[in-house]
Amino acid sequence: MPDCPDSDEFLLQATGRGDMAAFSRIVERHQTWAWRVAYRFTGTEEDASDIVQEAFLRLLDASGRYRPTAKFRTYFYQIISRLCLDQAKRKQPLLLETVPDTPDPSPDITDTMMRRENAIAVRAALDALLPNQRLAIVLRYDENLGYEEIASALETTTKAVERLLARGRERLRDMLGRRENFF
Amino acid sequence: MWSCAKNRKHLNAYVDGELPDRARREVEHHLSGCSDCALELDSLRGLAPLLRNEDVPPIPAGLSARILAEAAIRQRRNMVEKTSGRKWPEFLFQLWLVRGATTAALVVGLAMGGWMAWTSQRSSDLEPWMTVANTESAARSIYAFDVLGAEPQGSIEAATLALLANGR
Ligand SMILES: [Zn+2]
Repeated sequence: MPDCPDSDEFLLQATGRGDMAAFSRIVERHQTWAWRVAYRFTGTEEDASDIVQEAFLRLLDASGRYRPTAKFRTYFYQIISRLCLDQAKRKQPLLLETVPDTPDPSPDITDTMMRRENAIAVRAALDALLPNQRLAIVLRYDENLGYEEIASALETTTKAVERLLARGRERLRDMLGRRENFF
Repeated sequence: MWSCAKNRKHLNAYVDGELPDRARREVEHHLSGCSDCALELDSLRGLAPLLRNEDVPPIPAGLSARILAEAAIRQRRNMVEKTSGRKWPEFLFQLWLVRGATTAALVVGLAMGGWMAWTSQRSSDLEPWMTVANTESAARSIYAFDVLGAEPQGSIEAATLALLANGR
């Protein structure tokens, strides 16, 4: 609700009028999920930090023109998504075709090691996706967004989101399915 | 009954709970009589536990302070540009920035970082003293300026380096 003085929409408008306290509340409130999206997308702390910082600064720059017709989150997801995809364009594509081989698990392998291995395999699989597939997957699984919300974040249609998710999942299953313990 | 091919086309939306009722019933009807598609569904659903975000590290300490420091610089800069009535020549602004604003912005950033930590423990209303533009007219004059067009990207370090490069 834009009328509520603690709503994101209200705070962003206040930021647009020069209220830096409002801006710092926005940062405080949204940095965790912004970080989660950026990190899951990029896989590195350095790239994720750059994206999060730039996302908030763009928000600041745009705050003077912000009208609460767009929900704050939708708006911010859009900013972060653009930055993620720009970052992917700048980075050399990794062209990972295979998940690195992992040694045969010994009988006393610990849960921690298994989790670590799985995390590495999942990272490699995510990196092998096309950037917009990866972003759709992150927004779906990490942020639990519906097709409509993902579509507005990626500035595309819900049909396109459905296709991105379907292809992304197909690729993920191809890559992760090679590890027998997964499926 | 739908063909397997047609069913598979809708399986992703089905898993995501995005199918309209009619199509959802069709998918369920098909699944009840097709073990291949049921296996495919299991496999799709099997991705969710794998993709659980257990590997996300905590947000780096100091990131929010850095954001706020950078934000304070931009605010000051916009204010200076607006109150001076025109865009400053780049070297003048850089000189001003490095001489005074870097320190000021760092102090502001650190103060705001501390302030955020403090308010996260004790939620309070916005403090009026945190408002950079104290008066409505100042705020108006600052924000009538469109910041997007004239915005060199960069950090304190970048500005400092740029100044040093110019000085050579
Ligand atoms: Zn079937």
